[in-house]
Amino acid sequence: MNLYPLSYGYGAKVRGKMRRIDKRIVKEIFVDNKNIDSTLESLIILADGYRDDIAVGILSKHLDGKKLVGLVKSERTRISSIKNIPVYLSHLSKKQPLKNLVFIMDQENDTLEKIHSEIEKEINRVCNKQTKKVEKAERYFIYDCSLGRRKIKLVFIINGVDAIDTEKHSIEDHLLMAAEKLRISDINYLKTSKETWIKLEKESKSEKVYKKLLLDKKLAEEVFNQHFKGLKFIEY
Amino acid sequence: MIRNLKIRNFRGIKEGEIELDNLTIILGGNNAGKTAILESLFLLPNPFREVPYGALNTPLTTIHEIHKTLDSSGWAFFIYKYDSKTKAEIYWKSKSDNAERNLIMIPSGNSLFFTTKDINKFPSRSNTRAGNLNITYFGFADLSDTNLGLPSSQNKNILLAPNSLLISSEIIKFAERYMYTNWVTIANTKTPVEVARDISKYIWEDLVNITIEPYLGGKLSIFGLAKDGSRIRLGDLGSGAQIYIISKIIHEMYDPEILLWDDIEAHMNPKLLSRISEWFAELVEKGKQVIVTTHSLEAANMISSFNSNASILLLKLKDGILESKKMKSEELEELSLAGIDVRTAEGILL
Repeated sequence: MNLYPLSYGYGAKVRGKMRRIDKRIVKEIFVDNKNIDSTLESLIILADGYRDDIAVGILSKHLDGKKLVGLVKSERTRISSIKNIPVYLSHLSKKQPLKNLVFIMDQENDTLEKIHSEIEKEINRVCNKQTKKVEKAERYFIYDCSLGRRKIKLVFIINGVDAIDTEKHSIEDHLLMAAEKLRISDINYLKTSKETWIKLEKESKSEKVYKKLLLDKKLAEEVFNQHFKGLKFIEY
Repeated sequence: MIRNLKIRNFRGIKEGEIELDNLTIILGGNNAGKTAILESLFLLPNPFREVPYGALNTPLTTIHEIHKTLDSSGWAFFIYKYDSKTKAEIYWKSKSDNAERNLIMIPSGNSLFFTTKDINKFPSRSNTRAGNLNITYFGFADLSDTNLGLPSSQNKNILLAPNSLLISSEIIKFAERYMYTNWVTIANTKTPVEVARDISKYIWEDLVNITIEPYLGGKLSIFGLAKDGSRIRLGDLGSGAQIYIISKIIHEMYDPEILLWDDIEAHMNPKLLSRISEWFAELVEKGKQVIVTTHSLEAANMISSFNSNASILLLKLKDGILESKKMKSEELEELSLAGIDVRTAEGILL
């Protein structure tokens, strides 16, 4: 999967983060502006977090098809990011319609039932009433959405791992799971997985986890299970 | 006011059409045709008329200066891919009627001949042949030299379209000579005092007037006169301040119907840019048209925030074909909230 960040500023940040992990990876996963010409079928919307784009970058490398996917960091966070759907559909689909929108957001301290219900409520506000959940796993689910004459698939990926002891579930749950599997160090869990991960970053142990995740597809698939499924859906 | 512009084979644009508003902010990447659009609008009224840039006293010589490269000269660069068998065409429609008018540039021999549907407006016309074509022209420019020619100097005074003035940081210094030549007239208006007071809000110097006086060795210079009586040469002020002072003065003197400003953010601090944005809003309220180009979203947002009817025109130029998308500032804001920067997404948005 090739990524195209739809903002210069954000694109530079993502490239910078990935470059710190592996210099070569940047050319491999990101596409230059010049080669973009109305051929975007799918868009990934990061509705939360600082490290979600690293996870997406790592998974793009492992999903090695050549499909071009747009990447945006929404200023509207979590459920509110669903409000962006009409903007994406009216502006990004002039010549070739967008087919899939993938939202990635944190579970935080909400139950999955609450998140499901809030997402559904917001989708019904934005899309026509005949929206339908077509696939459901707890942290990965897809809706069919109609908006005017347009039909689109909405893929939701909720960050969080039950096995990680944290007050708020986020992308860092997944990174800590990888650190545990790699036995990087004894992890002293703080209140949230984010705080714990930041501590590992300060101890310069996080880079090792990222590098290993880039090299080991099986590990990445296991750790980012719901992300892998969601992104595989748009890749094939 | 010009509301529609169609360009064929002019500079890097093989084909393109855009819609213009009272205030249009043109956004686009490098080499997207932004400057070519402004230059076409600068030429339209009459490529041979007098403009306030000193030695660069016509739109033709002004544009020539902007694109001068090493020793090369002449106006062959007006024709798409320098193709001597192609003619460059600019068509426009004004807001007041739906009639399409044009300016055509036809190469023949070593010259580029200028003609138009409204050729009868020119008191003096000449004929020539380009291949099988008979051309009646009102002026010509050399393809590979700096010569310009008119059948009669009276042709300079004819306006085919609303008069326009191009501002660009690359040519603004040439207006100093125009200010010098016309200083008596300029000094007898309120403009120098107003501009000095205006710029003082945005720089540390407290200026009360603009003057032309002797500098060291007795040679003349343009000065900002400070409240305490001291003087600072215009060239010693920051570039943004110089551009603003000169632009305001020549604009007041030349009084164009259309103000064209290339790369508005160049050398401009946001505070000064905010003042310029307000100035544009004042001009539009007076019925003038303003068209600016920029790479900066911040500048586009700032200029449009002073005028709710401003349009933002996103451009893309691929293989010479110009595509555009007209947006309002609210749409730009919506896109930004959704994580999309129009300058990055142009390939997909257009």
